[in-house]
Amino acid sequence: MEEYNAASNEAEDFASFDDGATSYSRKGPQREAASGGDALGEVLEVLYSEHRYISSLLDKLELESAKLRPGKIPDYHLLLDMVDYLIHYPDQYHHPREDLLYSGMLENNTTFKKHAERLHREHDTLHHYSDELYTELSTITDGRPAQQAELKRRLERYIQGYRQHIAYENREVFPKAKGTINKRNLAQLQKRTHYIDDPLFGTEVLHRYQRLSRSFGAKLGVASAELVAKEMSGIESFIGRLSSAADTAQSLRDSMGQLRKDSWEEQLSTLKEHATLGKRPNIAFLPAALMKNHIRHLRQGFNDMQDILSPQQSESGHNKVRG
Amino acid sequence: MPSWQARVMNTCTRTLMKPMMRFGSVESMRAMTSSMDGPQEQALAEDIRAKPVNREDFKGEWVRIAGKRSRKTVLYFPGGAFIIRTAIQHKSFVARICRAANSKALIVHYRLAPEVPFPGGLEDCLAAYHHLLEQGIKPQDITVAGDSAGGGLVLSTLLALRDEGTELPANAIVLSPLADLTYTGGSREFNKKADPMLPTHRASQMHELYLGEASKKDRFVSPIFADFDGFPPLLGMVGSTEILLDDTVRAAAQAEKASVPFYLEIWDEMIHVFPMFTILPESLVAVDRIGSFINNSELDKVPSEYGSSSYNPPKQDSCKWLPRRMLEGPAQTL
Repeated sequence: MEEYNAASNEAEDFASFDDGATSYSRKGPQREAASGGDALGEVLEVLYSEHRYISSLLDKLELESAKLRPGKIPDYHLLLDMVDYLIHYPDQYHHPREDLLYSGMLENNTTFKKHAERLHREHDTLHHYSDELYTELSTITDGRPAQQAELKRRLERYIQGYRQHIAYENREVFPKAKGTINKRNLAQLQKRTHYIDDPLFGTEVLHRYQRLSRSFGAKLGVASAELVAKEMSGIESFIGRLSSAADTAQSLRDSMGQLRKDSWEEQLSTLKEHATLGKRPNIAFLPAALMKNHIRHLRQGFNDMQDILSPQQSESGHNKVRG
Repeated sequence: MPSWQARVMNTCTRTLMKPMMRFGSVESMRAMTSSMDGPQEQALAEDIRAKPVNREDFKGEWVRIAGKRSRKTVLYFPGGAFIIRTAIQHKSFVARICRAANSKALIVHYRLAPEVPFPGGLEDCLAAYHHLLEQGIKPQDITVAGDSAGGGLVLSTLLALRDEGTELPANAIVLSPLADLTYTGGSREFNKKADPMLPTHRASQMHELYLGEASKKDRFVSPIFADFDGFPPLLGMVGSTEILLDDTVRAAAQAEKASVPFYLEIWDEMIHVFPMFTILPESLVAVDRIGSFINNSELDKVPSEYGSSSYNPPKQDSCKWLPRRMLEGPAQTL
């Protein structure tokens, strides 16, 4: 019990550095939780995907900083945009969200303390580095002379540090979250996590980052091509299902017409038969019989339509028939 | 007051060339300039020797005057709105500079837009400077010069060399430089009609081709906004009726802020890059002055009949590399 209390205090200490801060999520995992999905899985998935985005940005940053050498022309404005993004999105939204997660982990597992301390320290250091780079790049883009060698050294230190930090979180920390985080932690995390669209990798690119976004052109082009292909295949299958539904509807209409005709003929032959046998034909019975036929055929048509529009259900239905 | 030749030339270019530049496509302008190459080639002085340079990192041409052995080297970036090459015209002009300065020159045929947008051309210019250093030529024997777009490249090259920590050349010359692609200079408006050659709006369309995805405010695109701290002495020549007048004037102001000596010469009603046109008496005077500047990094005043000049003296503590006589206070300071 004492151990648990100690762990709680540590958790509070750790959480206190961003106390009162609101963390934002790109995808809003709480919505999934509400629908009964794997809430922690969703939180982690968002963090993992943000790591992938940050990693691609670090690759780009490395590519640009490689131009800080004799004979090459670096794009200082692009470098500034990249650092600006890292300050304004990951530093303000991604890292605080991680810190909330880590405070929950620390609350339930005292052995996590050394990880938590390290991660907290790394977040602080990365934030300090990015601030430092932002200031330096701002003065350069304002026209001041650039000390290329020094700037390159700082960028390399930042990129390397960030990569190591991400790798550590992915490898050592996130896998431990499962089984450590409880429902209360998650509820707290969800309470303090709101939806915000990523200003660079989200659905709408912020004006400030549009040039940066275009510089990812080729990579995003491939990604969006895949997305379009996926969307297109979805649309194609939907159209296919619609057209087969239309075919079925047509054949139903035909068959219903035929059935109605048959039904009429059946009724007429009954009437004829009654007449031949000298019985009085039951004319009142005729519309009800026709309506009954009609409803039966309609029901059959609806069932067919349902089977077509829900292939799984249809398959199970077929299995049932086969069974 | 400009010479009568200058006035005739202004009238001709205003009537014939300015409309063409206003409406011509990249292809038509390239065709026009290359059609002038033949006659220009024949008109080259017999003692001009040229040797092409075909390196992977840049293409260019060595130019020298036969029978002259010179220590000084001019690295020249020709103009052409970043899209046109006037190789023969520039060869002839650079040869005149070589003659006046008793120097040899390497003309850089940097890659042009729209085929290769920024920073391709600038990287070629940097490569050419590094090539000179690799050849054993000392920075104090190098003058970097250029006209129009090439003038802008001179300033950008100095910025890039300074930032990368490479030793800068002895001095630099910019002739009607295009140094601001944000077009904030007032002369773009007030000289819009007076400029005998360059149309305003068309120029901006051409420069878009060069920019590609780069920012117009990038220090290497619009060097006018950068700090000139550490630059060598500069000479800037420009016509008073040019739309690019303010690019040179503001370059001088930036130099002054950084305590870099800048000889600013504003020639009355002269056409864009007037020193290139041998038909103009002003051109002969200007090329002589360029020759003097290459050798001494200092100049007398522009003769009053041609225009005005100003000079911001260097500060003792910031310009230790200058000759002592300049630090003592040149007589031509205005």
